[in-house]
Amino acid sequence: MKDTAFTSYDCINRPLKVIRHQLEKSYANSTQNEVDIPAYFKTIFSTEESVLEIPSLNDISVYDIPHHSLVRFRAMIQNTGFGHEMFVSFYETSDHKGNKKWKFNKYSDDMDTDVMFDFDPNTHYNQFDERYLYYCVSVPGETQWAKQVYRQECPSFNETETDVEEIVRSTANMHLDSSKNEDRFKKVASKFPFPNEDHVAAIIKFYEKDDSLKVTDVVEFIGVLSHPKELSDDEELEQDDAECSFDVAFSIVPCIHAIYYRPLHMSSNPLMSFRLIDPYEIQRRASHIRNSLLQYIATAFRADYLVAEFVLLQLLSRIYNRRNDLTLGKLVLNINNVPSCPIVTNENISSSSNLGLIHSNMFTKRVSTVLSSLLPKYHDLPLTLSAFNEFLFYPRDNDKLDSGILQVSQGTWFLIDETVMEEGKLDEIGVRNLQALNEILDSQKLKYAFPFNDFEFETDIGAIILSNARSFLPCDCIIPLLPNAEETLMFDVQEETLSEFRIYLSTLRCAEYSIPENVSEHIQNEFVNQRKNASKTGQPLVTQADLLLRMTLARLVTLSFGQLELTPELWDYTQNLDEQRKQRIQCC
Amino acid sequence: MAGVQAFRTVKINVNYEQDKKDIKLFLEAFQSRSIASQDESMDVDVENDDFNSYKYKRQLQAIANREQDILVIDLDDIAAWEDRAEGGLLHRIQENTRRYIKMFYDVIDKKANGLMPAPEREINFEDDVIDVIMQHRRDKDNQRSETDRTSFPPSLTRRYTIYFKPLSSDKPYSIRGVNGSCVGHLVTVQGIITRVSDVKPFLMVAGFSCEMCGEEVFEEVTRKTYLPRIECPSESCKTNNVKGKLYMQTRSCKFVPFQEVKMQELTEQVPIGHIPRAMTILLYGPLTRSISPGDVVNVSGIFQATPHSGYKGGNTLLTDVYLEGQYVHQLKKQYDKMEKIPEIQEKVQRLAKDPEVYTKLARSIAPEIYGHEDVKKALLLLLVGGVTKTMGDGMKIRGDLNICLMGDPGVAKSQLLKYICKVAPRGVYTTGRGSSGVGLTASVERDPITNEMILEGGALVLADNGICCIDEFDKMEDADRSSIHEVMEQQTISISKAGITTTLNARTSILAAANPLYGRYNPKVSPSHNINLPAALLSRFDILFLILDRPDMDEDARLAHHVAHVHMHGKQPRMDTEVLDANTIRHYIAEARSKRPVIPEEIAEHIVEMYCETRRDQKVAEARKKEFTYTSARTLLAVIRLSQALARIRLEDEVKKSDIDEALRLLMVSKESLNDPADRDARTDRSSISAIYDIIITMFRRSRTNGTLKYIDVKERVIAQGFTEDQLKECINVYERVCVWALNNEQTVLSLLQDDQFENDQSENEEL
Repeated sequence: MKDTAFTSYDCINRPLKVIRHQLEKSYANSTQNEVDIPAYFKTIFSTEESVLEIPSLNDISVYDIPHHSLVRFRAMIQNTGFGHEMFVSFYETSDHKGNKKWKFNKYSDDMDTDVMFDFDPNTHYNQFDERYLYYCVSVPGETQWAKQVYRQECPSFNETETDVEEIVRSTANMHLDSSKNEDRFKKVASKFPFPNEDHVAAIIKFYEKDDSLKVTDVVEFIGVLSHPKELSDDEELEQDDAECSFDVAFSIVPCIHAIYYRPLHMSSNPLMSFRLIDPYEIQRRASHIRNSLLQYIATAFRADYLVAEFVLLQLLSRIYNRRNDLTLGKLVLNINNVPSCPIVTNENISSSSNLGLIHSNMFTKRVSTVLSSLLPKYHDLPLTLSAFNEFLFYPRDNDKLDSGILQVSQGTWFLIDETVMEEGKLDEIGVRNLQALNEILDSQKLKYAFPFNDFEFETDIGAIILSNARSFLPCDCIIPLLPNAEETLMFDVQEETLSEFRIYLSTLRCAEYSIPENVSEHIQNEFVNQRKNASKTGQPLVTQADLLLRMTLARLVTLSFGQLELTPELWDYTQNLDEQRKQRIQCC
Repeated sequence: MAGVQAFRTVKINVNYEQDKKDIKLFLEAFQSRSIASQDESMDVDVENDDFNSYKYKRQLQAIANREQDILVIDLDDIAAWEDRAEGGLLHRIQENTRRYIKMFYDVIDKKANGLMPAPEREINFEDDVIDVIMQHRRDKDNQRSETDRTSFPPSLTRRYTIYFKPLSSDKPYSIRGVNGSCVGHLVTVQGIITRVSDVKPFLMVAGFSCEMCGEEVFEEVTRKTYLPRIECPSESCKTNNVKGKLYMQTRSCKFVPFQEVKMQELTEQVPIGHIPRAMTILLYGPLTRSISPGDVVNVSGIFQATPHSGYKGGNTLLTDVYLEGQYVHQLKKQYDKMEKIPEIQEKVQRLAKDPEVYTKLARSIAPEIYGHEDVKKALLLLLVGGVTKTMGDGMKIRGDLNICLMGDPGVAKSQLLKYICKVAPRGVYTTGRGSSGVGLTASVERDPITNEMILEGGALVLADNGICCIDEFDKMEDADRSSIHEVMEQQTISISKAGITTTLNARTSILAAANPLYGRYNPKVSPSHNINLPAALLSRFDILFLILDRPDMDEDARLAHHVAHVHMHGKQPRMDTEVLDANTIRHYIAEARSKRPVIPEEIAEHIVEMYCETRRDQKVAEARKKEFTYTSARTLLAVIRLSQALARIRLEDEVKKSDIDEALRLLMVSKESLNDPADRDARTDRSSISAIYDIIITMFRRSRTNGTLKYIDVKERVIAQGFTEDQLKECINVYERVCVWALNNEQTVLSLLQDDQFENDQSENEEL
């Protein structure tokens, strides 16, 4: 066997040949240790450019990528519960003359077909191996600009097709409202958090035991693509419901035999991984960016800068510590006094509103546009009675794990619109949905419902609630909206400026922050004095809850100015901000 | 290579013939050591005790007599019989179970020299039809010539099933622990059953008859799928050169019951952030219907792999895996009962020995909320509860405690409520705005004045045997609140609606939180004005705490420090005692609740005395128009309940005097919080030393033992009230220096030095 050096081109187009060659080589050398395929591929694709040459399932339709070629797939793990699968990895074949030949069967579901040689399933020399199955879906809530950035980085990127919507539709193998709306499609489609949305789904077969991959993790898998096993139309599925729906998934969902995976940047912001970013530069320019970002956010809130500031702080929040029952860093913001009147009057609205989760309030829509232009992962969540009663908010298992709206990856934002809520009855699902939502907002935990058992998963979901009056959902911080202008024009923001905003948010959100000892003392003394003075003058006292909120806000204020340490000035600024908010609540 | 758990099939030289001989010997000769431990399912009338001790021989006879249809081979028996550590028959059975089951069958069923004894009874009308038919069959066959005899597959006439029972020392696997290396082995898997299919007949032996010659052909089915025979293989058809067609005869087939069961991992078996896995278990024969959904079980079985049968069939390299059930061990019948995990159990026992367990547990309640130690103590007692008694005439005395927290906004009442809900095995949290609906439905309504959306009713199905936390109790509708009266005292809900009158159980503790009438406590008006709740309702609460938000330099500073510390270091500042996690608390409470402490005679007297004293205090309070709660017979019951809960916390079966004192202290503290703040400020000196001093002086006053107390008694009482021994020593030292009392050299007796000091103190106390 001659030793051929494979190029990245070979690895992309004929990965199985490369793998089999490697395995055979190591077998021929009769080395005890099997060759390390993932390491081999990692060396071939050691640079970012070479990785980007691999076609991505997120950008190209499955059927446009040949069977058995190398693909990338940026995905969220929806289910790790399938366990492992056993397969013959190494088997003996014999031709009619009795000549034996060894075959290797890794990273593929199909046998290496060789006309001359027959496979004997009962021979004793077959070697078994295990692989681990994950069900993955394209990242839920990934915003348009994020998708666009990923695409633009690919060398194969074609300038002409820039409509991201179009790409989503063309690549999705899970269409929900299309003519292909068959039963088995519906079964599989329920594994995506957002109902009735097109997405890409795949089964990942991973050959190494790796317990670090968890549910709702987002990673990029690199592996060999296997097209779904096509079923001809007349081949009716005579499977009764007791049969595992996993089989159904196999028939319509492609399968990726993952060789390895790469984690994404913790902010999920593609700009963070593709651009060289100097965090000090961001910190230096933070105040400047902060001002223009405030301007930008305020356009959605009718030039209410205080609300805009709180929104900005909210966008910087993240759970940075979780121990026992203590969850630090969460900031659920409720903006009330939001006008609810201008409902979009559109002919199609009645049909589309009950299909998906799209805001229908004009004001909310504006906010939604601004947020989705800033965040890498964002989704609308209009709270209507029908949404509560019809959709599933939490994942539920009945023989297979159906996803729920809240089963999203860490760092996904929801804009919850309570203004569209109407009076009426909540049924059982509705109450459970509400409980799930409450629990997320309250303690950032989501219960997955399994028969006889609930499993709790930790989440980090950002939430901004818009409501007419005080929200009935639990929230940390309430601020009424005071519009300064009736209608503000959306000012035109350059893509470059937006990129700067996005990098600013992602960088500072993940930054480490600390409180120096002397500032901590300053805060403590001030708190004691405030209470003393307030009781003298008969004003309402500052409570423990207030202090907790201010500590959280102080962290975000500090970060928003690009600082990493709290100073007395920043603390006073925070106090002032919170005072303004409190005054507003009293006014309203 | 990492991650590969490859396993090649290895040829082992096993002498199966020898093993067969061993098996035969085992079945014939095994004698269980004690007859008492034998299978109780047997009721064979055997006169001979010796024969009875041959465990398997006896069972085989029962099978032959058609009185038994299962033969469970206990691997413990084989281990005992074989008495070998490694590589013996036992080991081979565990690793190649399928084959050895067949070998056991072979040994028992062998025509010549088989183990199956002849039946001791004749066939009679009580037996199954099939037995009668088989008997006829055999009789007829015997009449036929030797050569002509059709051979039945042994499985067709077999009337029993062999199961293996795993070694009792076998550790159960979790589903994710079962991997490829277990294929073919006998493994024990633990999990919860989520789905159970219907019992279906499974074709075990297919019987065919030839349309030409009438020949009967039998075929054993060993796989999930099989291909029916088409052509008759009989001699007569062959010689006649006709191709007789075979037809399946349902009546001559053998079916066994078959059931498919889905098992899922238990919560504690799943690593954080993972989805539980499931496994298919196939049950055949008598084992079917032994499991129902929701059971937590250990199932032992043979881990099997078969080639995957996909949609298209054909050769695939995939395999399906399943567990062929052999033995089912039910762990507990109900899933909501807490499972006792040995490590936690050990922790609980260790805790119980700690004299400060009461304080420790109380501090661990809602550790993120600073302070409120007495409130937390009361909440701990609420979780534990008193003892519910049912009188002979059916009257019930409630054991569950009810607590009301009233206080200014922002004093973390809601967090306390939510925490209790989380810790309680069955906690329901609800807000007072509407609690009318019963069931899981609720409605959303808009408040016409504030324009807020309100959740109405529902979701608050009162937790029977749990704790119902009602927030914003004051904002509840009067009509709804009055229905709670019944729940709180009688622990039932009466419904008379649409001609149906019924009473439902609602054995629940109520923990309510309410705001004062004007939103914030107004010290200028009397307590009863501030508390906007009817007296009838208030008296039903065992304890009512008033938590006021008052600026207090030290407290505020400590609170601020606490919050700042949490934000700086991401954890609570170190406290004197470690904080127990919710799970441990839950287990401890479960353990405590299993106790039923009683009140001994002499303690009862003590209670009566105390009760009279409180009534007297009440009179004083009334005179000063500071009354707020009424001391009534209910108060007496509250004291009893609280002291029982305290005894439960010590995991003891008897209430002690110190329990009563602590219960009274809690009641006092809760009342003290109601007194005019100005009064309270006058004697703010509530440091631990003076508090302990108060306790000891009170003890002196009551002891009537000429001013001496045993140090042990003092220590016990002081610690029971939540102080440490160090604090006690400090207190004793301080007052020893001012010549109030003296501790003898052996540190066993504490004697009072100045009687007038004591008198003064007494008069001072009465004044208050």
